[in-house]
Amino acid sequence: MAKTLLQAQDIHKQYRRLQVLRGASLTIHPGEIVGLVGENGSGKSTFMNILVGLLRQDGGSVQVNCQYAYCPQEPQVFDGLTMKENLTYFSAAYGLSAEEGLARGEALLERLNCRKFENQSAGQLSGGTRQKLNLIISLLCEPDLLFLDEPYQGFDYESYLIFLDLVKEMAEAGRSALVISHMVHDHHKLSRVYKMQEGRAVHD
Amino acid sequence: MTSQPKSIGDARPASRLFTSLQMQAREYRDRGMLLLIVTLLPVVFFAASFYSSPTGGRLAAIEVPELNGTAEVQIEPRETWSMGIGILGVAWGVSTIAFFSVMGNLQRDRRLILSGYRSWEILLARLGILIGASMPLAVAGMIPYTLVTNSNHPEVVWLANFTGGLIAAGFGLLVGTLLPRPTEGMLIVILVTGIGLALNGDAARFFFLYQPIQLLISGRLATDPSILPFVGGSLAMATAFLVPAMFLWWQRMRIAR
Repeated sequence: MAKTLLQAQDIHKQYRRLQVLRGASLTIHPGEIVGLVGENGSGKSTFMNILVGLLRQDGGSVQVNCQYAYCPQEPQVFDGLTMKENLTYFSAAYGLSAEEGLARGEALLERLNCRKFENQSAGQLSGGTRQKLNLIISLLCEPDLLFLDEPYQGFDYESYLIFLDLVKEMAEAGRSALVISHMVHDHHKLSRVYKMQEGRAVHD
Repeated sequence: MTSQPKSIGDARPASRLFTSLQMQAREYRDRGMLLLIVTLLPVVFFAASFYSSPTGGRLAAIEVPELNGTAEVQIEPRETWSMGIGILGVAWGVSTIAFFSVMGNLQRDRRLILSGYRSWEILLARLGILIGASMPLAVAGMIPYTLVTNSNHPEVVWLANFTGGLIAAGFGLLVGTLLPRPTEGMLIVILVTGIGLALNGDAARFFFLYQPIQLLISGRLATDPSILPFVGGSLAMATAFLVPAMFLWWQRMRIAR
């Protein structure tokens, strides 16, 4: 039986009187790129926040058996720091040396066509470029499992295609991702898709 | 549940702490206006109070803490009004910086922790920045007392402003973790610091900056200033703010696994 990177079982979450998750379950294996889709307010981000550890579930269990990283929907970057400084700061968080982190970061900046902005403050970047920085930060540590909450908002089409290539390369290297996505037309690029329905993640 | 391994590479905690200190300091690089305002504040507070108070008239008596007991010193009435005002300015400035350093970074700090930072590393670096900011701000608070009025011990006046800044750092962090919304939080900082302007007599003893203000009075007017009791009291007050602030911050930053 294949190793399981993530196993979430019977997750429940309630905000005051609003029951958002009613027994959501999900499993991810190495090399899988799994999509999580659903209408606005269906509980996708709540479910991901629980899987990542940012929220505590009311019931159920989450088991993560690998190193993981998270790319939030809203770019969480330091506006007063340049792109390179942001990469250095998060490299330190991942336990990478500044040199190694910057080398990986600069390669990704190059790949996503934004290296020319590397010395600009994140607060001065366009929305799309900030989102690229947000994504690059989560890719820095080359995690076994990457949680992506609508990571390409504000991307132009070319950048979106580069993103898809990056994800494909991850899968080929045996690494995995869980992607919250609205890109229904690209579902064939995913290993599996779960749809959030009535608080459960249903295999689409 | 299994735990997220906290570190992928082999960078040492000391290196991470230094990086956090460096990056938090660099974040103030483009905030020259904020730093100018908080530096000028103690001077402006003092000048406004000193020059708008009545001049001349009968001298006023003030209790001055000396190393061995207290002494009564006669000073111009307007000097009594402006006595603790520089500390209030320093405190307002430092608590504002502390408040925004916590409030503005809650989500980003959490991402850093999720990525492998220990919460204490970020907080220790932040305290380092705030202590570092208190030092030059205390100089700004000291300037009026050495230029406009005479201080017997300017270094004690500086120490008073600095300890006032330390208390304010704890206060600002506590407000930032309790009320992480800019409007509500800043109103609390303004309200509480502003109360200090209205306090007189015995009621002033209950104000959180009472100890550094007494240290300042002693440094300005005493022959042999009383230092240790007020420094000790100030550190105790700073700790009283910092401990719950750190606990609340840790609670907010906690990752579920």
